[in-house]
Amino acid sequence: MGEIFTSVANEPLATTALAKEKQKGWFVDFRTRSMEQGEPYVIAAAVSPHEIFHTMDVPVVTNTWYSSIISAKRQSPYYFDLMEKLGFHADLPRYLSLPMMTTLDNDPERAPYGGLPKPALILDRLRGDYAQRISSKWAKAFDAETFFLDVPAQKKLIPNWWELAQHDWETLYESHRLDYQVEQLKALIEVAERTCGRRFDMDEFEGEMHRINKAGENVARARDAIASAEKCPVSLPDQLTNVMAATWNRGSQWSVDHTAAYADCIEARIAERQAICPGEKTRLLWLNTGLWFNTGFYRAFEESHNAVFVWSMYSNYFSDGYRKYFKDDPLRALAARSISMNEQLHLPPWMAGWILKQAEDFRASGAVMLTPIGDRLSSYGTRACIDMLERAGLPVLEVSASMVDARLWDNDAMIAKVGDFIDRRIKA
Amino acid sequence: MIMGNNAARALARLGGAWSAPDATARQKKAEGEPVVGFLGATAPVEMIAASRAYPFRLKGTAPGTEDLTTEFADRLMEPVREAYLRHLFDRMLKGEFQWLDLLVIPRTSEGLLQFYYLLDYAKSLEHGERLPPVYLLDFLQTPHDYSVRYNHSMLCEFANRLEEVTGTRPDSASISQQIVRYNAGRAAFRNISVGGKLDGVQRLKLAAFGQHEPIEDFCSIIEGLAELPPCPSAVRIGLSGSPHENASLYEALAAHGLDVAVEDHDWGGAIYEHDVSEAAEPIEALETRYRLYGISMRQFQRRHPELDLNGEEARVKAVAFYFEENDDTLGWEYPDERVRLERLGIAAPMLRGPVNGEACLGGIADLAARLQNGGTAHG
Repeated sequence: MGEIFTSVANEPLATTALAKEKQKGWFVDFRTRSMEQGEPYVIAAAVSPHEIFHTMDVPVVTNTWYSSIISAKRQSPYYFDLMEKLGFHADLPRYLSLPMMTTLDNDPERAPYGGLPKPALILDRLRGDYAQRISSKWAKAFDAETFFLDVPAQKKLIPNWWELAQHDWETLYESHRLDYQVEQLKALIEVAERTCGRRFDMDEFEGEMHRINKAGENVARARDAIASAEKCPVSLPDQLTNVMAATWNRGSQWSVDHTAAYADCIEARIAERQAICPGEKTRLLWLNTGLWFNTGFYRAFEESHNAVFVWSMYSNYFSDGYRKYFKDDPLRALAARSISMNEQLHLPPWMAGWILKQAEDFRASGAVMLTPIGDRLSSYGTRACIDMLERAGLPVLEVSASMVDARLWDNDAMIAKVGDFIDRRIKA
Repeated sequence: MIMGNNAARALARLGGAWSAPDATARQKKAEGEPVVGFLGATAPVEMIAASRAYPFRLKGTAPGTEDLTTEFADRLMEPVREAYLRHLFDRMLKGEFQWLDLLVIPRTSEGLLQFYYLLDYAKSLEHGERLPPVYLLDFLQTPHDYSVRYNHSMLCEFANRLEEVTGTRPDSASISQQIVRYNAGRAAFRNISVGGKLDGVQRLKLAAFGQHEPIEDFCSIIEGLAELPPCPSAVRIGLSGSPHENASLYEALAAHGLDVAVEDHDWGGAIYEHDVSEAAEPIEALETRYRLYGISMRQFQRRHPELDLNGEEARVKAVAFYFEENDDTLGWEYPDERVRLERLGIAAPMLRGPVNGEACLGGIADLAARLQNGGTAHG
């Protein structure tokens, strides 16, 4: 203790560039195979079982990915105007509907990458009430088939879900729900085979499920290292880039190797007493949705307040939520993985319980929660979650932002707000 | 034409229940009858009644209380949530429904499911004892055979829970009896609603009456209302979109000479459009009816808002689509519906909440001007 730390404030992990390269490579592969050569691909919700399509070597495009591309290319205002012209009112969720607007617009000159070609299937999970409406409309525009994964409700919220989620998921997620989900996945496999013209190989799938568990173990190793480090060795944007690339490519050997390298890098930094903010005095958690259009914001308080955002739910959901160990039924394990994802991440008792565990392990003394403006689905549970966290002694600041319209983000005002929160609620 | 005594009595009873929607249920409870409350239009009341409990649908607000604050609820409930649920939660935290033997929350919208979880959390807090016992009826509306099987098992579980609460098991025979009883109410409602005797506000009140008053009273006042003289003529419109548990939009439209002749929301007449099969096995019949025709945010096929409850043209000049603030669901269908209706020569304007907001009132005035000046559907 007391030894000086070397600053790596401006040095991304070596694996970060590799993660970005992998994502670029994924897109090149998708463009070649599906956009140019016409191979079948699937549009799927982020929280749906991509594993089935990975096993069949069918590219999966998430609507959130394409939405973020549209936003990054600053095309969202055009599509917002189009929504209004077509008669969609202004309160309808925009983040998930931007990709559909490119299809309805049917202007390849304008849409990023010329717009998405017709998919073999649109897969959506009925998390809220509007997914079926957007996906039905989108599929109709493509003349493509849809598959809706329904979601039976979790009746009993056993505390500390993360303690059961990996090995005793049968108890945690309620057997009758898993029975339903397995039936549903079998039906999905049939539809996937028919629409994509590929066979689903159970042996390959089982191997994929084991590899996901292995990669999750690596993410857990990284998470434990960051949590216990005297000073945070890796920035939150770096964490997100590495873990999300592994998440999107889950099941591949690349994801196992990459997460191992990621954890190695972090452990090496700790051994070499490297820190992103050597003067670190305060650790913060970032709650709810990521601030994807401005990840630099996470680092805006290191110089001014010696405060570091050390964790967001994307840091280790791969390890805590995705890992599902199994003996002989990988399909049931997959059912367990996808059936309660949202409840774990967004439902107050489970969400807050997990956050408090992270706050304790990471030695965080405060949290900032992002609530998307006017978005009912993304707002569910946030007030009760804040209430639970505050009651447990963790100060929380709620900030609101549009997830697709960066123009509405006042960076200076937000920095002042979070800075004031640190000064008044955490340092005081 | 002079109104008869039966009609006058029926109107008085209707008005009384509208002003105090909880009163009969409270009276039943005071008399020792178990009372099972429910939310939404997808709870199988037949099964509740078969357990010898009094089924009672809760409203968030009674007339005249729509503008009350929701300060208790606001600490735990996001401001973008459904207004009726915010009011209801506020009242529940104040102990207004502590006397219920059970509150049934069907999982037929994300809002209701999240409300269930919120109540579950609130029970652990300082005023948790003020909340009634809550039951989540995990009923799905997807058109899959495995959803049908799942629902069947959930309805059987619901029967078990009702037996625990009331001491009476809703068996097949008793459920069948209740199906016949409630179908009679549905048929009576359909008849009166297409008979030209009720204006839109009256029909909305009658539809609500059937949700919280005894079914025999429902049938009885419909008989009385049938003696009313025909309604004065007005411009007939349909109403689609967000639910209306109070009459403020109907009254705002009526103030401009527009009468809601048919609606598709879950407090309106469409909740009586479809019977439960009396021929099928009773739980199977309930499953089919509520999965397909239970009006909810998750319902897969919504009705055509220009048709009356018998599936005939309702002869409306317009269908107004009203969407409450923060609606994230129903508005997706509007553009296609507008095109479809305009092809039929029916105007399809959109109104945005709140009802008494400038935009909504302006939209109503515009619509009235267009229709009453003999304007066509397209303005």
